[in-house]
Amino acid sequence: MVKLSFAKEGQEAYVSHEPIDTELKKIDQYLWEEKARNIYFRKKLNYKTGNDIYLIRPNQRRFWSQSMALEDASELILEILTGN
Amino acid sequence: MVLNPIINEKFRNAFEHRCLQLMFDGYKAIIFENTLQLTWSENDISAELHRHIKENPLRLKWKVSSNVEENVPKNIPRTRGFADKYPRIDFRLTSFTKNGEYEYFFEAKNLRQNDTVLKRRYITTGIDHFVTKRYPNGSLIGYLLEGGIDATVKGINRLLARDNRQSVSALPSTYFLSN
Repeated sequence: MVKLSFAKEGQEAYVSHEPIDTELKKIDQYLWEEKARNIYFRKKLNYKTGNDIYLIRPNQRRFWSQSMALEDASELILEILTGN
Repeated sequence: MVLNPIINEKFRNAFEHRCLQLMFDGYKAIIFENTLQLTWSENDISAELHRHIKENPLRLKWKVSSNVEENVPKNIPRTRGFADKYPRIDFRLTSFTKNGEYEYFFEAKNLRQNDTVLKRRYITTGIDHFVTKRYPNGSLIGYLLEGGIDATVKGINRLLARDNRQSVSALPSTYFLSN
């Protein structure tokens, strides 16, 4: 999970050590979408609240590549523009 | 909870700024090429502006799609001829991904300082169409073909005042481009 915060002044990125494994596992249960019988897709989650956006992705390399980050950024910008 | 609306607004303003930048760059390119003729119709000027918008490398870098003379679909009965009843707008610029798009529109009107008919048309088919949401979010462009900016703006505002519409006004000249 990555948290983006909007603020008046920029801050350095840092790694949080808060224990959130249990919560992430709970969320993961809801991120499977059945497309057809026995075929499931894993969904990505962008949770927005106040000045923060949480990007929640499965712990797999393909979800955390540079190309995926660029695609995620375009989609996130569009979500913010359209207010979704 | 939802995202702070100020953040949504900042992103929309940033996209609007990019659309305006593309429009300004197009205008500067027309002036540089010296192709503009004062006898041109609105559509002639818009087509030439759009050619430059399409050619602008910033448009590709920012992944902005553009087209001219776009129908704006409205919720009207789908009976024969319904498409002709759609409002038609001069420019449509969009930011898009595979999941959707965000649209920004420009409507353009010819203006001349001493032509009250054009100024009245700028109000009724320009300003009013944005105020009534016939056109969704976007900007109104005036192609001033003759006369001064300040005097033309004052003329438009005088017509608005005559209609008791002081809450709506054309912008001061600091918002205008000139050659």
